[in-house]
Amino acid sequence: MATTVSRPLTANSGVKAYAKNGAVLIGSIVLLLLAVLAGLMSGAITIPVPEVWSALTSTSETEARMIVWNLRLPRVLTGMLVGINLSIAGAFLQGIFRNPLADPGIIGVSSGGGLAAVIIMILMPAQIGWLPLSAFAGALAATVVIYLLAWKGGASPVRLILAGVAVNALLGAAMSGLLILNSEKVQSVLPWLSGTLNGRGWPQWDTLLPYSIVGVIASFFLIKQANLLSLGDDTAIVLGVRVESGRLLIIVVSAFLAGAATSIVGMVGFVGLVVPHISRLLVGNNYRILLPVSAILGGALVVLADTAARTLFDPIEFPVGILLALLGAPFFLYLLRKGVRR
Amino acid sequence: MTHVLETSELIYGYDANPVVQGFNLRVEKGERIGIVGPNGSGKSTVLRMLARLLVPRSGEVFLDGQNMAQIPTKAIARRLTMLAQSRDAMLEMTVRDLVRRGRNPFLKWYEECRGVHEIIVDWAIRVTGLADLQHRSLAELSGGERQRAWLAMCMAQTPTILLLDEPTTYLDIAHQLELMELVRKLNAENGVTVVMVLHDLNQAARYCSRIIAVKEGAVVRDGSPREVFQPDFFREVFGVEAEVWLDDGVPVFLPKGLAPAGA
Repeated sequence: MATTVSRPLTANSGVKAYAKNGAVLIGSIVLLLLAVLAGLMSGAITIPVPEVWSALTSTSETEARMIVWNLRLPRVLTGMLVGINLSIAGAFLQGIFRNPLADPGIIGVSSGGGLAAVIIMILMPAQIGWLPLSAFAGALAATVVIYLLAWKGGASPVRLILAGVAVNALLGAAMSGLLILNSEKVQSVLPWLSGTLNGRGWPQWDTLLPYSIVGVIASFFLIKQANLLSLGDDTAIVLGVRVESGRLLIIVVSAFLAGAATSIVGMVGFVGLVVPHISRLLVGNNYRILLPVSAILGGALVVLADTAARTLFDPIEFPVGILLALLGAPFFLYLLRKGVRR
Repeated sequence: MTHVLETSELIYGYDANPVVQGFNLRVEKGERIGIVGPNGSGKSTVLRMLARLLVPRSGEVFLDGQNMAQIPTKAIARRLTMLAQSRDAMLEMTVRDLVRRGRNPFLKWYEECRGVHEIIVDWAIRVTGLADLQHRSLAELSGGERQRAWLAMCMAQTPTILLLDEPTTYLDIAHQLELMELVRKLNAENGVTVVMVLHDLNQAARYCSRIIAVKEGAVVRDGSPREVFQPDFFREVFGVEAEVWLDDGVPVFLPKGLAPAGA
């Protein structure tokens, strides 16, 4: 009798988990839309919803249209892509390294991109147009170096993390050295070092969009691999997964996504570390739901933080990266203490 | 006659002191083999080579007469599985989601676990007695339940050979016996050939049809529990003096103390 009574109950709890994940997904989409709306409304001049709407839909050259369409919309959308890219990369890397401290920085994306960008900004300011491409190349190069250093008949997560820490320290030292030797130019580099969306517009969106599309599509094909790899190498092998190639693919896609974001806005930390954790607390470890929720929440978080950064401290344009840490860290600690669980 | 699993002269480790030196094994279909030996004898290393988690320095593993190095890893996973020892205890996912992963070897990269695969997942959950726990998170389960969940994942692979690496470590005695009974049932009722590394010698005698003792990377005893469990076996392989009793035909050993040095 006991089993016949408990059957429907257990079936129910499966459905409940499904419904809860669906609710979280819809909730995060709503949050993203609200964040975008807030981003379009707020700034030096507050523009009410109806005017935002008409600015988006009509082509008459009003002042509202100028501000919303030419300034705020591309910046908001670029911020959204940055959040999406970094969060997907972070969610992947935490899973395949099975390490809660992993973020896109661990595979050298920040330090490699950062060093390349600092070299351009400080040593060759005339070539500033090459900054995004150089930062992107630097990010990928650092990832390649870390992977090769970790390789010893396979690149185990622990070796990758240790190689990552070492390479990051080296590149970070080179960057600090350059900055100290050229301290008079540091002022102009600082916003980039903490990540900023200041002055980002349609050209940056046009640059970032194709990379994001390619990376996001590729990442959806890697969901199954990521799920299997997060069971650990032994289990994945026993289940017939080709562990090394699967892990390499995921690292490449993560570096691609995070490197593209870094090349546009600089070294935005925190998003790639914390958003996947928050999403994990909300929907669990299955990448089929974890990845979309991370991406959407990441987009929302960066848009919200950037909106706050340019409104709260007006007229100073505060780098979004600093505010992300200021807002996100306490919230993250709160969630950790509360221990939100399914 | 081909064996379901066979090894020829497996060697693993560095030249000077290899962990495994010339390991030979022939497994018949339906056997329930316990590999025993002192710490550092290389018994787990052997098992990991059988599961292709380690690549031998030389020697081959044959699965149904076919050299395993030449079979695609996914095809191996449809026939052979292993309950590995290094697993993430705090993995936050439901039992059913874990068991579903066991269908991976049968799915193309774009396929999801549904249809007939879900029916097999149901079967694996039922046969391991997890029906009531299938929607619970692994993190909420007891050690014994969690171990059964991982075993259910292995069973979802519908394996002909099941390898287990010290499956009862960290379990209390009731859960140890529960797991061993389950393994015996899977062997008897589903015809799964079992090869397991075991720490507890009396459990090995009770639940295995054949004992293989390993010392310094080579087989030193091979036979039924009654054949192997002799006082000289405990002295030579484990360095302990022991008395052996028969309980319903099953040998039971009682250690009396360390064997004198040099014995």
